[in-house]
Amino acid sequence: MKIVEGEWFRLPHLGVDNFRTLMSLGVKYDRVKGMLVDEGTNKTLLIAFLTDVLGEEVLIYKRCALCKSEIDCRICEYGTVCDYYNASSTCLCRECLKSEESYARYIMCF
Amino acid sequence: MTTEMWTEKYRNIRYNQIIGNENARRNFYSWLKNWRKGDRAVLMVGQAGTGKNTSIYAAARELGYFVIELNASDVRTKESLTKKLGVSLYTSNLFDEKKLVLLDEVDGIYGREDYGGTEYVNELLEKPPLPIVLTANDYDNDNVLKLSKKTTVIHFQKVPLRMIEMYLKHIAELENRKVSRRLLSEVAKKSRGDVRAAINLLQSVIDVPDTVKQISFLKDAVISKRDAMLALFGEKDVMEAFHKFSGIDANPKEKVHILFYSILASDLRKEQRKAALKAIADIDVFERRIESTQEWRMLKWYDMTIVGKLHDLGLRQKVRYFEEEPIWELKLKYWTELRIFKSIKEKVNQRFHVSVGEFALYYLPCLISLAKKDKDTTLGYLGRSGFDESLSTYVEKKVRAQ
Repeated sequence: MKIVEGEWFRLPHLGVDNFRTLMSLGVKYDRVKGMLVDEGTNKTLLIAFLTDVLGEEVLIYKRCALCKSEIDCRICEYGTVCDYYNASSTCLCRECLKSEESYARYIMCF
Repeated sequence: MTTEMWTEKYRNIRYNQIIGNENARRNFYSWLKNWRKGDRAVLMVGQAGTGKNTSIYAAARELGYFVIELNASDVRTKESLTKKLGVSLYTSNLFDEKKLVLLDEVDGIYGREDYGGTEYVNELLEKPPLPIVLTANDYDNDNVLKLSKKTTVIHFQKVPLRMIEMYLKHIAELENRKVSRRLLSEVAKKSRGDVRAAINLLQSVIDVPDTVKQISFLKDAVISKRDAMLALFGEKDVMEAFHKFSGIDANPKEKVHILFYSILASDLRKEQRKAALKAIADIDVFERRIESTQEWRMLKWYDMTIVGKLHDLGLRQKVRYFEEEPIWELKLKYWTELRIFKSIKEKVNQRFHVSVGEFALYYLPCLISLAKKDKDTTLGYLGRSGFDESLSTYVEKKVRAQ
């Protein structure tokens, strides 16, 4: 299962206890939009918990602040040193990082 | 060549020029822009170098606020807070500017009644006469948790390393310095998501003549936990092992944890393991004593003690690096059951000098395992230590369940 930070997603019905655990892990819930993982979520515990409950691999992706593509932190060149589960929800994809005007574009995007 | 610190030089940037934590920054800007008398204060939580203060000052500048900053680690009693804040809260300055109160590092405010710092801040937060922003590094701190109930919490997280690389490149361009991508990447790696540290590191390394030397300068400055461990148990010469180990990028507690888990994970003979664990226990006691007496100057002997105790145990090339947090399932299990231990909080603090969380993660599994082998002695020990029935019942229940 793939979750993109800062974007709403849906989970199958997991029962009251599991729902409570999700809330205590900092997952936001909206009856209409679903669930949201953001800066306040304990992502490391969330992955362990969801993997256990759903019985499938759960991955959290970031989104590129410039081109909005999805970023898989596991294959990033900083993957072994970046504390990506405790880093803010948007990052840069490889192509945008290499581009000359990346910072100027970043400022324009904010 | 200018000697001005780049962190200071590039501090007064515009709000949209800050990097990382976009959602948090949007929320804060919108809160300050729409602030009305009586609105809740904001508590910004995040590690150093994540952009909390830079965001506050940049937003205040752009929205026409004058910032009254108090560092809570310096001004933490009710008296000093009143003295510094009292008049400013209800009067305007010469230029009739709007005012914003920044209470920096509230983790350091005393909560004890005789000082009353937290109580004063709590009263202030009931009906804030001005926009009040509190900042804290540690969300798990008791003071911060209390304050979080009366404030809107905004989390600031570490800045992703690719963003740091992008920002360092921009600064190098502003400084008209040519910097290789490799160096930018190495500096970003060393920063661990702390923008301020990254800028300082870039400034300190940029004048080293060539790229190879720059990289080696960075590598010498700090060495990874893995390399430090390999040096400790790999170098033949004790001084060489000490020299390398002392560059480890870890705090004293982390060092003990890594040593402990590495010894456990390595294939050692029983006597070797026993001797190594005894040495680690001694090192742990040393660290705890430094902490409890606050004799921080003794830390300079800490690495020397580690190397001295472990290097000559005949474990050369036998210890493999292993850094393990408690397994997630266990962490999750005890984490969800923490409420049970709320009642024994004070006793845990007194007896073990650790938080309830640490107790549940590190001590409780050992107690359960001991109780499994010898229930009466373990439960007797808990009783003699002054713990109430709830802990013994819990341990007993766990033993039965296993």
